[in-house]
Amino acid sequence: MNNDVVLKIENVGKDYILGTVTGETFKDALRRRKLKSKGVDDTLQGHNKVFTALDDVSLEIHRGECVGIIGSNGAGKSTLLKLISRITSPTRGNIYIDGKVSSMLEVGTGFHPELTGRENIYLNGSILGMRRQEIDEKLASIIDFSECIEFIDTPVKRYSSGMYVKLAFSVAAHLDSDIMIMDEVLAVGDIKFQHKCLDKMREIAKTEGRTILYVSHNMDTVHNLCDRCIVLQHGRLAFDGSVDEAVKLYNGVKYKTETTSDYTKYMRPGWLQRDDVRLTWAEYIDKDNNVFSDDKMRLLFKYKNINNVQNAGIRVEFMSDSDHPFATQIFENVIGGIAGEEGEFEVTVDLSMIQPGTYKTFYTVYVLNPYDEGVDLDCVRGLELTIERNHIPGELKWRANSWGSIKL
Amino acid sequence: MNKNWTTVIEPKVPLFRVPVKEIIKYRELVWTLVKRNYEVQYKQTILGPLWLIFSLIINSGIFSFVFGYVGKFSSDGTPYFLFYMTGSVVWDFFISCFGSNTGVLLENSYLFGKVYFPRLIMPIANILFNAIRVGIKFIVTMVAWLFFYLAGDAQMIGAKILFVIPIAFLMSMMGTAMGLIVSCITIKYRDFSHMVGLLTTVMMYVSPVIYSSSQLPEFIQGVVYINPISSFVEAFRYCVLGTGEINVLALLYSTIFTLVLTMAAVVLFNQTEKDFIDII
Repeated sequence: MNNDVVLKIENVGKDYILGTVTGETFKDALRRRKLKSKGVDDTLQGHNKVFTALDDVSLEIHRGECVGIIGSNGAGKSTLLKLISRITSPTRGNIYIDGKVSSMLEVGTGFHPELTGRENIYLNGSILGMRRQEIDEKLASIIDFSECIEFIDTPVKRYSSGMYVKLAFSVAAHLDSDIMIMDEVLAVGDIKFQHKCLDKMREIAKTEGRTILYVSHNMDTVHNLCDRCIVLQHGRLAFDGSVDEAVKLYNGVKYKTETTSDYTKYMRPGWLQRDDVRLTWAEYIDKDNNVFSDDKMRLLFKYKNINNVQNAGIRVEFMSDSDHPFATQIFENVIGGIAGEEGEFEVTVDLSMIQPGTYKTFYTVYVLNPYDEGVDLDCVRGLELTIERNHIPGELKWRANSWGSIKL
Repeated sequence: MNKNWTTVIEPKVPLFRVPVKEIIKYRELVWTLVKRNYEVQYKQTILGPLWLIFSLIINSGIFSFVFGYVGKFSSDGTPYFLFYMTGSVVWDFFISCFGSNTGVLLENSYLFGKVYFPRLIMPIANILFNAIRVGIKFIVTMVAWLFFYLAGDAQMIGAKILFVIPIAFLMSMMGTAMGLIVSCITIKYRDFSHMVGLLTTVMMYVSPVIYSSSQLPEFIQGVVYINPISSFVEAFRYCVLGTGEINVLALLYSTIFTLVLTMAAVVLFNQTEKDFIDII
């Protein structure tokens, strides 16, 4: 059984240094060294904070498995792939690989604009690790797949961008290795070609017993391709198991009912910079469904402070079907307290101006910075709601499609 | 539990390690890259590699005029044209190995950031490409030699011309090692990319590329020999033209310098390549 493991990741971590490493000049480095030797803990040090992109990730992947990797932006997916494909090295931990790894993180790696399509197939193929003989054998099939046969002896600088990516994908799709690392962005071109790409990936995944790591934000394709899925959250392994469970966790569905939502395990979006406070619970009070026919929506929130928080407010944001925000109600100074403290509060949202329909919401906790701009501390997808009102005879019937969702 | 893993990725890499096996596995990539360099350089040109020959002839002509005809530098009795031609061929090999590798990490970061292959492949491909270029120039030089020989102005070449190969090899090693070191340092400190031009000018003028060291006062000669390239240039010219002399001590110094520098470059490159992509 143990022999079947083709990829073993042991307690792998990766740190990045934030700040000015890149732009610094030799002079800065000398000055810093001088200050350090004097024992001065200078402010420059403050720039170089360590950011942990990946922490203590352990995984075993067996031969023939097709593993999806999901997680919000900044969760560490790309970092993990970069480590496995040896583009950068881990700060901690070891990775063991059995077999040949091909990473398809980008289409057209190493394409040179001056060279013809045919020359670029050879160049790109060799860079990705194909043997010349292997490329010779697959050349016809690559050209055929790319749909670029008429232009194959033209320099790619004269290609349209669509042709360029089609050709590039075709080379990548014909790679032959034991472990394939694929990124969803590989599905390129027009819709028709994208489907062709995904079909090709599926074909690679399902036949020939290859091991595949597939990164995606598109849950449908993960469902389609993978038989196991891992979820990364803030650089840590949050889940490893069946695709269904993983997708549920990722979407936060598991911890949600019609009138309550548990946010203790909710995956926060990657853009969130602060974690001073975390909402743990939201609930419609005294309701057993999410249909509102009166103008008041009572909401109960529970939260936990991670740092000291003062005068934090909450925004209840309403979205239309297309996730386009159209209304927000603000409640000031509802959260405060010292680190570690838990609390709860209740707000009443005024729905009187919002016209009947089904809406999604977001709950965002914020504080004001000195310039009165909001700094978001937490953001979660809120409970859905449906507003229904009895029609009053003689009143104009509302057409939300043309007039929007708010009646002033 | 013991299993033969093909690859083990660890946070630390050994100080001195040349992944010979892997490089051999990727040998076809080396050729592909050499071919790419060639094709890219001469795409949409009518004369193609003939430009190499023109630049060599024109360079040697200008050198002969400025330093020989106007400046009356000594060339140990060799025709000026031939003297400067051999000088610039051998200098060209060194400087192109140096120059093409000073930016090897930065310029190829778009590749290195997306796909893995032994990073040393790139400098190796650069050396090979330059070897081919300079090889062509060397052949032209030999044609020029034949011309002067038939006119009775040059000596017959002997078996010592075979020593050209190890000399060229050492020079390319030194150039590449210097290039790699600069390449590694410029990732953090871009200052060094500004130094390259200055350094090459100094190295060229403090070496017998355009004059023969025998005409210099003893003290200055010593200074010239500190430049590790000097003895190689002289030895090269001696092997081809049979004029001048070989300073064995200086040659030994240059060889040892080259070997130490190469070791240092490999160590530095190994330590840099593993995660330079994070810094770049």
